[in-house]
This record gives sequence, C-alpha cells and structure tokens, in this order.
Amino acid sequence: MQIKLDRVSFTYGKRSRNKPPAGPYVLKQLDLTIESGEMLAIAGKSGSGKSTFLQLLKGFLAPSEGTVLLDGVNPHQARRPELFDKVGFIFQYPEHQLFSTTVFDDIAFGLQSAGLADEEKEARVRQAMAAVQLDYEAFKDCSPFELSGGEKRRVAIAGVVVLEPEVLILDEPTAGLDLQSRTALFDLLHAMNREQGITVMWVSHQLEEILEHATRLIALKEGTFLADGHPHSLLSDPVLLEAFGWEEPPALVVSRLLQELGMIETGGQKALAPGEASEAIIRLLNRQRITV
Amino acid sequence: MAGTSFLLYQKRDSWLERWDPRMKIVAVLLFGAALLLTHSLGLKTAQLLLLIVLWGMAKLSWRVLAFTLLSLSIFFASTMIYQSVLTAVPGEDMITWGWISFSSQGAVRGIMMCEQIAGIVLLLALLVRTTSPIVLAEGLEMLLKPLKKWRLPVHEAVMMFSIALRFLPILIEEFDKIRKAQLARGGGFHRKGVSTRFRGVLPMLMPLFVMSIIRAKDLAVAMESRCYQGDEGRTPIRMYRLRANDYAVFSFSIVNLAAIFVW
Repeated sequence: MQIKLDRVSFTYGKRSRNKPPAGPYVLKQLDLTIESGEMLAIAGKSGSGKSTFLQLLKGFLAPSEGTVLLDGVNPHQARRPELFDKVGFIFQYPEHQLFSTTVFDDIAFGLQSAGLADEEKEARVRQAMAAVQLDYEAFKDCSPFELSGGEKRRVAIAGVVVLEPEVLILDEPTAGLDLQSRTALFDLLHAMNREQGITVMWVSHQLEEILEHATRLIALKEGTFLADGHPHSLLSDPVLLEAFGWEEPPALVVSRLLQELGMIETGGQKALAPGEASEAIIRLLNRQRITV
Repeated sequence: MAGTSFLLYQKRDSWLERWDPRMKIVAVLLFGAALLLTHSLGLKTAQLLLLIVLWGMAKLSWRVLAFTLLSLSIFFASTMIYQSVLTAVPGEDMITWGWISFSSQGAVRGIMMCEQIAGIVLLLALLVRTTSPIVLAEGLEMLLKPLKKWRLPVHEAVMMFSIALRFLPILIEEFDKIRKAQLARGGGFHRKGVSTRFRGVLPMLMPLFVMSIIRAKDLAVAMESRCYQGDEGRTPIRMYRLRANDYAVFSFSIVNLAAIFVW
C-alpha cells in the first residue's frame, strides 16, 4: 500500500473556519510518499512530532491542513475509515495492552468482529504466532500475564499481525528489550517485509539499529522533515549529525577511514559488515608492516 | 483535552492561590452551607455570581467554566422538568405555553436547585483548581487533626485522597492510549454494532487496572525508599500561618452564612 502525505500540517489547537488555527503547529507542511515494501526508520528527539506523525498515518488524528492518501484515496474525505485498518499500529510497550485470560483470546481479539469461522480464526492465530515465533501449542492456553517481557511483546505484536496489515507502524519497538529479543524482533520484521511485502515503519533512537535495518531514514525536527534518504548517506552527513547532536555510528567511521586510506573501493554509500572491516584492517596492518 | 485538565491545578499566581488551605476549606464548607440553606432566589444568584467573579480572579479559563456548566446541563434540564412540571403543587399559579403547563413557583424552585448544583460544583472546582494537591492534603490533615485522638487514620486517608487526585490525569491519559492501542488491533470493532462495541470494554479496562496496580506497587516502593513511614515523625516542609487576608475570608464566610437567617 502506498501512503502519500500532501502538504500535511497538524495542530492540536481547535480550528474554526476562516480563522488561522490557534496553537502552535506540531507538524508543518509535510510532503512524503511511502511506497509498498519499505523499511523505514523515523528518528527525532522527543517533542519533534513523531507520535503525531504516526497517528496521522493510522487515522487516529486527521490533518489540520493537507491530505493523507492511502493508495490515492483520502479516507477522511471519502468517509472510509476502514481503509486505516490496513495499517497496523503497535504502540510503545504493547505488552501493557494485553487483557485476556489466554494468549489465543488476546491475539484473536481483532478477529472477533470479522465473523470468521472457528477453524479459520484458529488458522489465522496459528499463522500470526508462527510469524512472531511463538509455539502455538505451547503458548495458546497460557495467560499472557505469566509470560516473559519479550514473549508478551511478541503476543501483542501477533495481535496486530493477525489482522494481516499491509503497513506496520511500531513506536519504539525495541524499548526495554534485551539484545536477543531485539535481534529476534528485527528478524521477524525483516521476514514480514521480505516475504509478505509489508511496509515496516518504526521509531528508533538507536543509530546502529537504523543503519543495520532501515532502507530509508526520515529525521524529524520541530515538526518538519530535516532529512529523508538512505541511512548510510544521512548518518555520515556532518550537517545532519550536528543538527541532531548525534555522533557518527562507529561502523560508518571505520568504513570512511578505511576508504580514505584506500583500503576499500566502495562508493562510500555502504557501511562495512564486521567481517569485511576486519579483513580490510588486517590488510592495512600487513601492508604497513611491509612498508616499514 | 478539556476532560484531561478538568481537575488539574496549574500555577497561575492568583490571589486565591495564596489563601491558607485550612481557611480555604473552612470557607468552602461555610459557603456551601450558606448556598444550600438560603431560600432566597436573589441571595443564591448573588452567591453564584460571586463564585464566577472569584473564578475570574483566580485567572481560570472561561472556556473551562463553560465546559463545567455545560457538562451539568442534563442535570439542569431534568431538575427544571422535575420541579416545575412533575411536582407542581395544586393551587400554584400555572402558566401554560402551548401544550406545556408549569407552575411559576416550581420554576423558581427549579432555578434555585440548579443554582445550588452549579454553585457546589464551582465551589469545589475553585478549591481544587487554586490549591495544589499537596497543599490541599496538608490543609485537610491539619483540620482533621483532632480526629486522631479517636485513632482515626487521618494522615493515611488524606494521603490516599491526594494520591488519587494526583493520579487522575495520568489515568485519563493512559486510558486514551490504551483505547487507541485496542482500536488499532480491534479490527474495526468500534465501528460496528453495540454488542461488538461492548466487547471492547474489557480490553480497555483490564489493562488500565493492571497498570494501576503496577503503578501503585511502584509508588509504594518509591515512597518507602525515600523513607516514608506514615505519619510518625513526619515534619512539614511548609509552615502555614493565618494572615489578615485569611481572617477576612473567614469573616466574610460567617457573615454570608448569617445573612441567610437575617434575610
């Protein structure tokens, strides 16, 4: 599904006709097209409008000015709010939203009003649990409250995945997760992106995470997009790094230095994988030993 | 947003905020009593107008005032109908407008009743909005001190009250978040019939309860780790002293209460 923002502005102040809106703009004149199948990271300090931006994409909020188009249709204007159901939204700490007595019921919550037969419901839940790598037989009758943090989060994500969204939005999905759960979560997101063509958008504050997983990075500052592009080129741009107070990720620094020394020949668009970097460094050290 | 900030105290540096909390609570009780006890329409209206003037002096927003009164409109309407149409005493002057007939005394009774409701609500809103929860709790505790003689847990009760007041906005904010989260994974249940919508109540309330219990537990640990051990040996950080200002407020409240017996 393609999402298009056309000069979207947003303010929480009340708007009345023929009057400029009261209150400051949270988002200002955003133009953006998100194509199907992207892995998109969104970065920005707190208060930069990230949450508001994401809620616009899910239809929780309607833009004060401009339009949000899903596959070319404006759901607000066309009075078709069900179009937003194609967008799955996973809030920060989704495990706090579990409520049912069993994992199965919790995941199947979204299917209740769809009028599915029991077998199909079971098949969908089974599929969703497989997608988040939870064993169906072992977990379906557990209480969600007795699971570990990482498992709870996977149950909560399955509750959204079961609705078969075309776009998945996650608000800081790795917050509070240990390293293993983090890796597992991104494996899962990559798999969904690759195999089902789901667009994945997530908010992240970890530059390494963005560098490793995103194909596109949007940096928000004070309600406007400060940058939009490939993470490798953006995160090595001193102007942008300065604007956000970020430090260049070590992987990029090493790659850049090796390139400056002429040890690698890539066009500077790519961070080296640890293996490649170590190989290049060993080559560098060997060469210097020879010249000495 | 109006709902979220409904009971919130915000510092505005108004004259009312500088009143002593004890005197403020006493004045609220006296003023409330006077408001309930008068049977004169004029006096009740004057008291209500005074409250609105105080609202302005407290630098509170007029929008919130309008919202507060509008939220009571169903009470007002039902009170008016009950007093003037349904409980008209035979022998009262009946006024007929088309097919409605109501008694004029009943209408006056209705208006007074509405003024009472509005007055009490405004009074409490003023108290809560111009006094920070901690100051309010301290004032209440000092006023209720005599009850400690009978081993009533005054301190604990007041602490609970102030914590509840403090956490109300957080709870509302949290409910909003949970609501959105469940809508996001609910498969559009909120757009369907009443029975499907009803199924969404548990998913919204359950996490709220769970989170409240977790939060209460965290709060208890946080309080204990800051050496909170109840009332015993607790020293106040603020000392309250009554000033001329407070005596004036007190005298006015007494005069106001006395006025109803004279009138």
